Amino acid sequence: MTKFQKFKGVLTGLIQLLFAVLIVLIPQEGYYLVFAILTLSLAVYGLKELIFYFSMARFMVDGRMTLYKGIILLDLGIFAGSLYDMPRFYVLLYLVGVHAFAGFVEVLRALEARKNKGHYKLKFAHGVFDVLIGVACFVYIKSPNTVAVIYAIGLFYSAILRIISSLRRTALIYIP
Amino acid sequence: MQEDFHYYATYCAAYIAGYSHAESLDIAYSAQFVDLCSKSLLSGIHAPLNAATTQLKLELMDTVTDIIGLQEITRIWSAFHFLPQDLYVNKKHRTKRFMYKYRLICGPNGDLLVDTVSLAKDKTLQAVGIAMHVLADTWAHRYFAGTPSLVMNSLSYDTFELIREGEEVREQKITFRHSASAPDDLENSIYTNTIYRSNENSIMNLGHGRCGHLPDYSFITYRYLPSWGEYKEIVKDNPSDYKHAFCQMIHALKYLRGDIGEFQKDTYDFEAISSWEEKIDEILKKRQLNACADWKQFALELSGQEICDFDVEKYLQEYRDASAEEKDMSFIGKFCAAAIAQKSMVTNRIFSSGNILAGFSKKILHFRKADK
Repeated sequence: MTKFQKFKGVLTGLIQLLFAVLIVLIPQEGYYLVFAILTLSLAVYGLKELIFYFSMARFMVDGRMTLYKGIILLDLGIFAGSLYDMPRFYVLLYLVGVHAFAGFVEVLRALEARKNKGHYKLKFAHGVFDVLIGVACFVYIKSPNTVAVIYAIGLFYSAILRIISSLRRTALIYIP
Repeated sequence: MQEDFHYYATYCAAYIAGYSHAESLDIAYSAQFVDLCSKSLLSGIHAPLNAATTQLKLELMDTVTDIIGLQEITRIWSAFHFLPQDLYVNKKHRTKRFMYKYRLICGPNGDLLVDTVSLAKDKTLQAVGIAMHVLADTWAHRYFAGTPSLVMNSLSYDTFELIREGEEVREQKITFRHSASAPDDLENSIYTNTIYRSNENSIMNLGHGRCGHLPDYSFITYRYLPSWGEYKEIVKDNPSDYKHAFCQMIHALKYLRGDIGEFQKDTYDFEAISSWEEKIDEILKKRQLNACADWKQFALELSGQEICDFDVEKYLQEYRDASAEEKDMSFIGKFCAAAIAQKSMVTNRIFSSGNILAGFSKKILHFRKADK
């Protein structure tokens, strides 16, 4: 991991921590702030993937995976934007869904890393925990305050793991 | 390629081409020094940093792969280790972004190789050594690009080693792992490669990192599917490629010595090695991680002189001790001048082809004493 990647990882982790605190302290405004940033991030990331697909990856063996990834992320982002003025319950439902989905994607990435003989255990644990948090939120969906706390715990856990991953010493294998 | 070929085999090629023992040693030292001359090393001896011919792990870790960082990486790796084969190659229905990188794929017998060898003509032995490093790497590193790229430098599906057993060829699946310390396991075809990164410009996708050291071993033959290859497999026959590299080096060295009038592409001096062909084939095909001892023994048989082991420090103190006026005339000073000229030439050729990935460089219109 380069210094820049480490910096990005730590920064993202700190922002997640801030969101977790905001959701517990000022649930109403906190949700919408998280929501707005999530919408923007998903849409930008999805667009970036699509641009990469159309300019490079479509000429690559198995490059279509990039297309699917881009479409799904952009779609999630646009959908999130369209839910902005919905009641808090639905916003929460969506956030929890995205959190669980992100966990699922993390599990897939861990399995991919395992296939490529890379480090996968921490990533796998992170993904499984996110999915479990999503499930727990759905179980308590009728009690928004409980869901808020569970979701904040999930965010807090994700943030800590992200920071640990970023600061972990990794042997750089480099063979030009 | 590694020390066995860049140092010992280059010595042998130079000696066969007609250079003296001492001249051959200087050429071989310069050829191997290309793999060690990083900014960190140069800064330690207060030499010009733009003469760097390689980048260390830590230097790469500090490089942000924005366009400026990419240009810095591409200038070094394309000029010295992955010389582009055809900067003007065309492929229908491809975007400019794709073609920028596709045109940087390395391969032998390109126009830039002729330019590289010509640039070393009537120059120092250091320039000759650098040209030999570049030439040899065009064979070992073919099909990979000297710029970070997931699309150009990654492998898809499985890779197989083709192991000759008598008349039969057996296929053995290659397992890649990411162990920074464990040596490659030849018996079970387990090799270390870089970590998978889906980011197009990750440094893990530079050169043949995703393929591990396979291109660096002379004995290995393997088949794989490059990501840019439109589902067409490549069979990389290193023993044959390395032999071509060796014989092309002899042809180039004879030209640089003035024994022949022109350096021609796709020309190999097989005749010059006819007396030792069996011996050379044996070294090239021997399954081993490092062929230094065998090449060293062959060099001794050739010249009757003991070849000292490569010592990176050999000429560094001379440079440190030299006065400002003398530095240019020292061994390392001459190496730096030749390296800057090569980097400048390749960078400008890439830029002139309309490709921005290496940036641009000032043209060197006159040569200092150290260059001659």
